[in-house]
Amino acid sequence: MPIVVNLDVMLAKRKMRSRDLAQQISIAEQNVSLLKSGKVKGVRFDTLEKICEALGCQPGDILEYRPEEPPKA
Amino acid sequence: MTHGVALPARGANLSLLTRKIGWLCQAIRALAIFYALLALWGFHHAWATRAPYELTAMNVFHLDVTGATAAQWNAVLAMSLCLWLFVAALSFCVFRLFSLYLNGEVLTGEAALWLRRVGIAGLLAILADFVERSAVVYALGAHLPESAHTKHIFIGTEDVIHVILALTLIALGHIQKTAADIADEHSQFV
Repeated sequence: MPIVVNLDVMLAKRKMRSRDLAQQISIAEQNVSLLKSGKVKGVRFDTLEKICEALGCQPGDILEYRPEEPPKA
Repeated sequence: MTHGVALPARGANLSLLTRKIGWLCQAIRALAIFYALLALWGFHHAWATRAPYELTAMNVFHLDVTGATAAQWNAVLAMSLCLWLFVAALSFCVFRLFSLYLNGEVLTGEAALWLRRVGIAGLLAILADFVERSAVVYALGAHLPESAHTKHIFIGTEDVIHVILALTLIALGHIQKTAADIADEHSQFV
């Protein structure tokens, strides 16, 4: 998927556990895990806002666009 | 569908809805059971007293069935009990559907499935009733000469509206299934 979620990187930088983040932003820990692994269909703006507030970062620190490589001929 | 379905947020809307319709769901469940029991009692009462059947046969078909034998009346009871099975199935489906709603499972595939089943069970009960009423009159008039048997089929205006309601529920079941799929997709947004 072209949109890569780097939440695990930010959590490591801030030395925060998924459980603590989940509690701070009031979403289920399972959803944080799913978000980390990129297995969700999307992120609401208010969730993104809470994540950035909790981790002191920008949306671009959490989300990255990596275009898929075209198939080699 | 992604692997590991995101936990749906039990939104304020859904919680408010469940609280709003809680009493309604309880009332409907109680009425469903009451209706099934009332129908059973009604069939037995009509068979035991015979008057309701005799009146219908006379007023609608101009048939004097007071001379019907015990065997004919037992056949009527058997037919009524067969019809009651359809009524019971309908009541069960209604009870099951509103139990799901009470449990907060409003926009789910299972709720949509039971809504459709209510519609189908209703339609089958209507058809069974249609067949049963004519079969009952035929059974009660079996001892009468052939010339007395003119017509046994009758459709009331209420039958049409019942069919419309049953078909509406079936359609709503399909609509709700789509709504449940959309809700499931939305739940995968964190």
